[in-house]
Order: sequence, then C-alpha cells, then structure tokens
Amino acid sequence: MNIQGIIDNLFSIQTILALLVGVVGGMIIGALPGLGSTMGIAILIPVTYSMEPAPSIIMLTAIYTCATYGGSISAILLHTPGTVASAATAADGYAMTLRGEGLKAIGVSTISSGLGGFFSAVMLLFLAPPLARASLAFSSAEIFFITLFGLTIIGSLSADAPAKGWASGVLGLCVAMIGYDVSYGVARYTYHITALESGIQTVPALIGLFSISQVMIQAETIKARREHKEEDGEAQVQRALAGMKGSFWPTRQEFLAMIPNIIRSGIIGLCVGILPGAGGDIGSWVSYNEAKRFSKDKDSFGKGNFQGVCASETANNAVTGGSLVPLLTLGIPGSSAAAVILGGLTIHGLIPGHALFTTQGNITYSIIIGFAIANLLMVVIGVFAAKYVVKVTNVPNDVLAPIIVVLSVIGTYAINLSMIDVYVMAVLGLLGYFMRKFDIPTAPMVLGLILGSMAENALNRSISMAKGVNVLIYFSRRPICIVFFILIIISGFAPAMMKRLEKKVVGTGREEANVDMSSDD
Amino acid sequence: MKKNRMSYDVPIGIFLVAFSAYFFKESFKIPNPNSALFPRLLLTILGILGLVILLGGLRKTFRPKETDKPEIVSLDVYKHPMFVYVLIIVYIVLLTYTNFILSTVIFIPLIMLYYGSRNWKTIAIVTVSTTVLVYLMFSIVLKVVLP
Repeated sequence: MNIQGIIDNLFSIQTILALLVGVVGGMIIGALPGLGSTMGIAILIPVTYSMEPAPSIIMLTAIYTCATYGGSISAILLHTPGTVASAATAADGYAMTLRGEGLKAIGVSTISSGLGGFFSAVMLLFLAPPLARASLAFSSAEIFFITLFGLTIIGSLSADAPAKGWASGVLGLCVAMIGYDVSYGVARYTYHITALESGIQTVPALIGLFSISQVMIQAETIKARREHKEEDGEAQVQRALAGMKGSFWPTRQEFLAMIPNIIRSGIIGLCVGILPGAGGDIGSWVSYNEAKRFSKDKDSFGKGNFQGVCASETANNAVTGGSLVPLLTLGIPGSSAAAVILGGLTIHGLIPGHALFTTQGNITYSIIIGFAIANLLMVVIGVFAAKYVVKVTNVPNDVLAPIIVVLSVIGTYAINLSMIDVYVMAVLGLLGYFMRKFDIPTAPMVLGLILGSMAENALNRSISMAKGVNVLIYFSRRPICIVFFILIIISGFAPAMMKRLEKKVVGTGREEANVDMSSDD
Repeated sequence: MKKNRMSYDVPIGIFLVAFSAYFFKESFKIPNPNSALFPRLLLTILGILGLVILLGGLRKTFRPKETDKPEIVSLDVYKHPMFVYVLIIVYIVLLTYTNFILSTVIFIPLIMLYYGSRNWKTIAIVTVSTTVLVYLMFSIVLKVVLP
C-alpha cells in the first residue's frame, strides 16, 4: 500500500466520473420519493462492472450518502421524504418551507448532511484499520458467530416482529444452500436443473428483491394516478419553489447553535451506523429525539425548528460511513444499503477483512478517501443544485417505472450475459413484493443470501477443528465466541428496546411520514 | 360478538412450517449426510420461527392489541402490481426470443399506457431516449453484448 498508488486511483478519469455520477445521481435518486438509497445502489451495481474496483465502490458509496441527503430535499419542500432516513426531517423542514424559510432548511440540511457524512468518513479511516487487524484473531468459529450476530441484529431491528426478520434471514441462508456443495461434491436442491447448480447469484436477487418489488409497490397507486393526481404534484412543487425565499445559509448565531447538535448527532449516527442492521432511519429518529431533549424550546420541535432538521440530517449521513466500518472489516453490513454495497464489493473481488487493508490497501484507502470527497462534493453541488433537484421530483411514475425496469433487467443480464439471472431476478421480485406486503423485511434475506456459504463453511471448519469434541463445547472455550454469543442474546432483546425508544419519540412522526419502511435505508 | 378477521400472519406461519417440513424431507435426497447438516439446521430454525409467527398471528386474530399494525386484506390492492409484473414477464420473454431493441421498444409504451399516460409525445421521447441511452451505455461504454 503506498501513497502514489492511492493518488493514482483517486485522480483517474474513472474515479472523477464515478464521483460526479454518484453524487448527482445519488441526490436525484434520493429526492425521488419511492426510490431509496438501497434500491439506487442495487440498480447501478451492474453499471460498475467494467469499471475498476475503486471507482466502482466510490460511486456506490457516493450514491449512498447523496441519496440520504437528497431525501431531505423532498422531505423539506414537499413533506414527502425521498428516503426513509429523512422521515424525521419532514415535519420541521416542511413547516419551515411553509414559513418561507424553505431555502434555509435546505441550507441547514446541506451543511448538516455534509458534515455528518464527512465526519463518518474520517472516523471510518481511523476506526477501520485497527478493527481489521483485530479481525486477524478471528478464525472460523468467530466468523460463524459474527455472521450469526449480523443476521440476528438485522432481523430484530428491521421489523416490528423480530420473528419475521429472523425468518427472512434464515430464508436467505436457505436459498444460499441451493446449488453445488463444493466441500462434499454433491448437488443440493437443484432438482436436476443445470441452471440452479451454480446457485442463486446475489446481485440479480438483490435487484429483484429491492427494485422490481419497489416498482410493483409503486404500481399500487396507478388508479389514483390515472385520475389525474399529477396536477396535485405540480401544484405542490410550485408551492415548494415559492417557499424557497430568503437565504440559504444559516446566520452566524444559528450556525453556532447548530455546532453542539452536529457533534452529538454525528456521534449518534456513527454509532447507529456501526451497529449492524440499524440504518439511517433509526439514526435520524434517535438523534432527533436527543436534540429535542437537549433543547430549551421543546415545543417548537415538529413545528419548524431547524435544530430538528440539523439533528436528523447529520445523523442519517453519519450512519453511511458508520455502516461501512463493520462492512469493510468484518463483512457485516451496518445497514441494508451497506448490505447491497457488500454485493458490489464481492463482485469486484474485494473480500472484507484484514487483506482489504493490507494487500488491497490501495483500493480500500482510495475508497474511503473518495467517500470523504463525495461528501464534500455533495455540499458544493447541493448549494447550487437543490432548487433544480426539486423540479426533478415531479417526474411521474409512468416515466420512472419503465426506466427502472429496463435498467434492472438489462443490468442483471449484463452481469453474466445470462438470461437465467434475469429469471432469478423476476422470481425474487415477486417474492420481494409479497414479503413487503406481509411485513416481512427483505434486508435480512439479502444478508442471509450473501453470507450463506460463508456461514456454512465456517461452521464446517469449526466442527473439524473441534477434532471430535462436541462443537458446542469447542465454541464455549473460545472467549471471542462467548462475547459474540452474549451480543446475539442482547440483540434478541433489541426490539424491545427499540419499541420503547419509538414510543418516546415517534408516535405520530413515523406514521405521518407515510413511507414504505421495509427495505429502504 | 364481532367476528375476528384472521391475521395474515396465520397463513404465513403455516406456510413457513410446511415449507420447512417439505424441504427437510427433501434433504434426505442429498447423497452426503454431512452436506445436509446445515440445511437441516436452518430448516429446523425456520420451522420454529414459523411456529412463532403462527402463534403471533393467532394472538392477533383473537386478542388484537392497539399496537398491532393494520393489515390490508383486500384483493384489490394486488390487481395493478400483478399486472405490471405480467408486463415485466412479457418483456423478459420478448428479450429471450427477440433482441433488446425490439423488446424495449414494445415494452416501454405498453407499460406507460397501462400507467395511464396519454401523451404520445412523452411516450415516444421516453421510449427512444431510454432505448438509445441504455444501448449506448451498455454496449459501447461497457462493451456488453445485448440479447
């Protein structure tokens, strides 16, 4: 790993293009209600195929952070969060717009998002390498427990009923079982269909589960659309643009008042991000609640207090970098969007762990720095482009749907030039749709799919390393395993804790946001 | 007494238990028993979780609580999404037997019309621009051969 190599990576044309596409594209994707960061990343993974690894991942992380920011634009101006993570911003942000302070709300959001994201990038740079080194002490047994922990916590945090979340995760693991088992040389669950022998590919499954199912969910509102609800949207955008008077930048006083908020929210966001499975929406709500608690003016929250916007946006962007920490070091995504990025990493041959920071260090450090730059670019472009992004949110569904479908289908095909992948995508699209209708989260299933073979190999190797001793006893002799075991038990109780938090803060907030929460981030 | 509407968790739970049981039985077809260990483990867990969900569904049916999320049971909701899905399948079939350009040029107007778009100009613009851009992006920039 050397500085020259990193600089070469960063200043290549591909990286610069990747940054631009990622930042602008991310903002637009985020601002469009119904399209979230998770889905945006999933659709654009195929586009990164013939790109070098570093620019590819930089683009994906840029999309992640800018979509999180973009979501706030429509939350503030149209009272419709573009992504779930901006739900907490909608109430105060929109109230500010109605007061004519919409532009300032966007200004606050831009600064907060940029600072939150940049902070998390810096922390990623400092926290990840030591953690990667620590992961050297991990052998198969620990890896098995880590994957178990990742699945347990994503399962418990992503649904109202953790049993459904875990079921989704296990289902993902099961689907990963389909195919040829290399260790024993037998085919499993293939029913003599050749196509199934190589297993279910991750990226087609991802695209199906997230993008196709989303198109179907959007389709539910077709009836309303046919009855010319478009005019409503047009009027809203006009009103929003009218509300964007006044200055973009907060006053010196306001900015000074924001600073403790930003620091606190940034740390909250970072920690929530590092926690596997907890995504932008949790980060923003927790930090919103804390900002309210620390405020001398609690009643104004929800009615247009810019500190609310600041807290929520700083945190949700800080989550992005935080979620990359466990992802790059241990292979456990810190959020569902990170899980999709894991898919992207695997395709480019980047395996999370110690090697990523040593032999492949050039690539990894380029990615982290590129991610930091993306956050800065986001602020710069946000300052100039926020107004125009709003106009984009008016794009009607009937234009979006075909574009998404074509991109998904062709993108999937482009992976291996195989129509079979497309069929997989189609099947999983239908499955994803029904899962979301029945309140079963899709993110754990993706994680199960990705981690399936890793978990099984780890278990098998543990059994052989136990050399005849019952494998459970073998586990209990390893301290790190015990630690993770305790963590797994704790994460089993996490949902109860989350319910308490939700009741305190949210109540009306989350329902008003009226957004499909299940797999977005 | 008011009739309780059955929570959809009940059929979900039943399905999961049945699913686990069926594939557990299927696991005996795997030639090497060691290889079957992990699947069986997973399916057992899945079955237990299915049971939990089933019980939760029964509880929601007979003793509904305030905090339970409202469940949409009407079949109406599914009409449009399913039709869109059918259109997507049609597109994929077209792609299998013909080429990209033809399939896409047929698909996009179809789906836009279904969505209620009546503005032929818009439809034409979207169709042409999407097809052209995707074609350029994938075959030239990324050097991918399209079906």
